[in-house]
Amino acid sequence: MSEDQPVLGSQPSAFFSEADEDYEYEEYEEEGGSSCEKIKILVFRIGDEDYAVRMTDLQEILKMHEITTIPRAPRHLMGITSLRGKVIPVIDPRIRLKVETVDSSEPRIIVLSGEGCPVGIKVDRITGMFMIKPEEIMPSLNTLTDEESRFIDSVVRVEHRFVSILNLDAILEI
Amino acid sequence: MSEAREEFVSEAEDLLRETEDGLLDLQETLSKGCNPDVLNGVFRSIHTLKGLSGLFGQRGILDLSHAMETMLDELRLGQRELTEATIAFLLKNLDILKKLLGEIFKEGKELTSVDAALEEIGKFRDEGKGREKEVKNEPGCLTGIPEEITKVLSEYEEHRLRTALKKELCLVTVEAEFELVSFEEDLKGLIEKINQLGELIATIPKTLGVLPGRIGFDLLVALNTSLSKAKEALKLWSVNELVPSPPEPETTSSILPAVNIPTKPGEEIIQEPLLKSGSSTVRVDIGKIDAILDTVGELMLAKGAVSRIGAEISETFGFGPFSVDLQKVSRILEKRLEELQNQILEIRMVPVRQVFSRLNRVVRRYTRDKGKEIDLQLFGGETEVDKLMAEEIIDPLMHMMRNAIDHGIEPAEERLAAGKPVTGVITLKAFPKGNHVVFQLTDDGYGIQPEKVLAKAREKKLIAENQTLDHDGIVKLIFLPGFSTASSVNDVSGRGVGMDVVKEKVSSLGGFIDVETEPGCKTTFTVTIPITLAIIKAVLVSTAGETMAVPMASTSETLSIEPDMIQHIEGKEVIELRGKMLPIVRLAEMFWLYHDRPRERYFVVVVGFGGRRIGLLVDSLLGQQEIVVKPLGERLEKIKGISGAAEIGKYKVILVLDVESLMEEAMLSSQTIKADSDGLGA
Repeated sequence: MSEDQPVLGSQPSAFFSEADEDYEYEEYEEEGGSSCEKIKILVFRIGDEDYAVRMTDLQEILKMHEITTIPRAPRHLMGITSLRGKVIPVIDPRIRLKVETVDSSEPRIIVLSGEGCPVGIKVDRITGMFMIKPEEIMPSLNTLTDEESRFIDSVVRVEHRFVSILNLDAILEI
Repeated sequence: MSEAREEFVSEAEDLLRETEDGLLDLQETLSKGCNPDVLNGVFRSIHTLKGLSGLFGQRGILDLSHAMETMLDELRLGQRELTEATIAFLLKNLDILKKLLGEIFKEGKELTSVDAALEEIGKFRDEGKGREKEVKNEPGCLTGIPEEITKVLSEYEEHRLRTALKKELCLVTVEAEFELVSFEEDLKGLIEKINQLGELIATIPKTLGVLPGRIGFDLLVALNTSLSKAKEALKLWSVNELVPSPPEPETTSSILPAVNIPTKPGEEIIQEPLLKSGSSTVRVDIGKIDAILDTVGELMLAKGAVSRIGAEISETFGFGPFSVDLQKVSRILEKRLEELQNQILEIRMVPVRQVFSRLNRVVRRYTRDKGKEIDLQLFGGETEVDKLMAEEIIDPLMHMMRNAIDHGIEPAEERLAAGKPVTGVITLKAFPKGNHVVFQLTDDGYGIQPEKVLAKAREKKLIAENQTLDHDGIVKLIFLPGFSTASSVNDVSGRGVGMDVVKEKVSSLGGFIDVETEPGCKTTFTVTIPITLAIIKAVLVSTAGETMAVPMASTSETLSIEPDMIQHIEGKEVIELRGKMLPIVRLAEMFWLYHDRPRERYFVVVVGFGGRRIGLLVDSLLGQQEIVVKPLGERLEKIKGISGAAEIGKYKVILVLDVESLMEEAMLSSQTIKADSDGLGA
C-alpha cells in the first residue's frame, strides 16, 4: 500500500519537509499580527498559470493514480480513481480553465472535500503552501467573460505572481 | 458526524421505530380495546428518548418527547381515552421527531422548531380535559381489595386495577418465593405465564414470612381465564382469590397457550440460575462491516497473486514439492476467504420485515387520508436482504404502494358497482429466488387499461402514431420517462415522478421490474433485486482497451463469434442463437469508445432474461471474478449505463455495467425516443 499513501495527508508538516526551501511562508507569518487573521492556501500549477485553493478545503494530495475513464461522461470529468477503497471522481480542470499543459512532470491529484463526497482535481505541479491576509484578496479580472470567471473566486498576489483562487463549487461540479 | 451523535441518532432511531410499531399495534387493535402492555411500551420508549435527548442536549426532541410523554402518561393512567384521533395525533408528532432526528443526522443540528407542535399538543390536551375529569372522578370501587395492597399501588397500577374491576374480571394474588440469586429470571418466567392467563397489575415484594436467602412477591393479577385454569397453570404457587368474577361458561379456546405450561412440581425452583443477559446481539455501524469487506476484498487480491506466483513457479521450475504445497495452501486460503466473505455478507442481512413495517405505517395513514378501505397483506417478512438493499428498496416500494392506492384500488362505490368487496386488497409478498429477492405487489383494483395507456403514450409522443404493440408491450409503456397516468399531481404518488423513476432506481440496484395486469381485476408488479450489492460475481470483459464487469446475475451465457456471423435486419445487428434472433449491441459503440481495426473474433455476453435478451459485443473475455462493488457516489449517480466500480488488482478500478439500463437504452434506440445526448440525463 506504500504507493497509495497520501503525499500530504493529515500531517501537513510531512509535506513541507519535502517542499522547496524557497517558499518562505514563515516570513508572512512574522509580518502580521496573530495568525488567525491569515488564510492558508495551497498554490499549484495548471498549464502555465498559478491557481490556489484554501487549505481548509484540502483533504489530501495524491501522486498520480491510474484513472478509469467513464464512457459518455462530460469531457472535464477525467474519470474515477480509488482512494483507499472509496471511489472518487477526478476532474481535469484544464478544460474548464481553458489552459494547456506545458509541463506535467510532477502531476498530482489534489483531493478536495467537496460537498458530500471528496473530489480530486488533477494539477500539473504543486508550488507550495502560503499564508495570505484576507485584505490581500482581490476580485478576479473584470475582462473575463461570465463563463471564464465562473471558476475563479478571487485573485491574490503571492511571491510577486498573481494566483487565482478557484471557485470550488463551480470547478467541482460534474 | 461525531461518534457520540452517531450513537444518539442510531439509538433514537430504534426508539422511534419501537414507538411507531407500538402505536400501529394500538391502532390495529383499538377496536378490541387498548392493550395496556403495548401502551406502556410506547410510553417507555418515549420516556427513554426524552432522557437520551436530554443527555445529548437535543432540545427540540427533548421538549417534544416530554410533551408526548405527558400525553401518553395520561393515556396509560386512563385519564384520557385512547382514540383513533389520539393515535393519529401521536403519529403525527412522531413524524416531527423523525424529521428532527434526520436533521441531526444530516446537518448536525435540529433545524425545525417544535414550538408549533408543542402548542398543538397543549391544545389537544385541553380539548380532552372535559372528558378527563369525567374519567377521573369515577367512584372508586376498590372493595374487596385488602388495604395493604391498595396503599402500595402506584397511580398507574391503581388505574389498571379499577379497569379490571369495572370489567368484572376475577382478581387473584399469586404468592411466589424465589432463591435470591436467580429470582430475576424466575420471576420473569412466572410473569410470562401470568401474561398468558391475564394481566399482571402489580408486583409487590413481600416483607414478612420469607426465609433468608429467598425473596417473596405478591403478584396482583386480573384473570382473563377461569380461576381453576389459573390455579392449574400456576400450581407451584398459591393463588388466592380476591374478587371473583361472575360465573361464566368454560370457554377457554382463546387461552390455549396456558395449557402447555410445564407442570412438573418443583421444576421451576431447581432451575439453573441464569445470570447472563438475555440478549446476545450487538449493534454495528454498517460502515465498519464495509471496511471489513474492503479488507477481505484486498485479501482476495493478495490471494490471486499467491496463486499466480504458484502457477509461475510450477511453470518455470516444474512441479516440485514446494509448488504443490503452495497451490494447496492457496486453495485453502481461497476457500477460507470465501467463507469469511459469506459470513460477513450474512451479518449485513436483515429481514424485510423492517421494510414492511415502515411501508405499513405510511400505507395505513395514507389510506385513511384518502378515505379508501384497504387491507394490506404482507407475506414473507422473514426473507433476508442486505441492509443497504433494504434501505434502497423502500422508496420504490413505497411509491408503487401509493400508486396502487391512488390509481389501482377503485373508490368504494365503483368497487360495489363492479361486484367487488368494498375493501381493496393489496398484497406484498417477498421471497428469495437464488441470489435475488423478489417483491410482488398486487392490488385487486382497476388493472391497467391498455387503451388508456396507448392513447396517453401517443398523446405524449412517446411512441409513433402508427406503431403497434402487443398487450405486454403496451402495459410496459408505463415505465417510459415522461409517462404518468395520474391526471392530478397530488402530494403522494404524484410528486412529479412516475414508474420510470421506480424502474431507474430498481435498475441502478442491479434489479429489474415487470408488470402484469388483468384489466378490471388486478395488477401485479414484480421487482427482483439482488440480495446484496456488496459482492457479486461478474464476467470481466474488455472492449476498446477498457476493462468492464458484467454482473453474472444478469448474464445467461457467453459466446465466441466470428464477424461474418453477424447479420443485419432493418439496420440492426443480430446473430442467431439456437434458431432465434439475438440483437447485438457493440459495447464500444454504445459507450463512444474508439475501437481499432476489426477483429477476427468477438465475444458476446448474453444478458437479460426470457424474451428480453440482447448480446453485448466485446473484444475479449477476461474471466469470472467476485468483485466488491462500490457506488460511484452521488456526484456521478446520473451517469447512465454504469452501476458502480470495483477494484481489481493493484489500484486498477473498473466499471460495473448497469445491464438493465443498457438493455433499456438499446431497445429504446430503435424507437422514437430521443437519445440522451450528453449521457448525463436530466
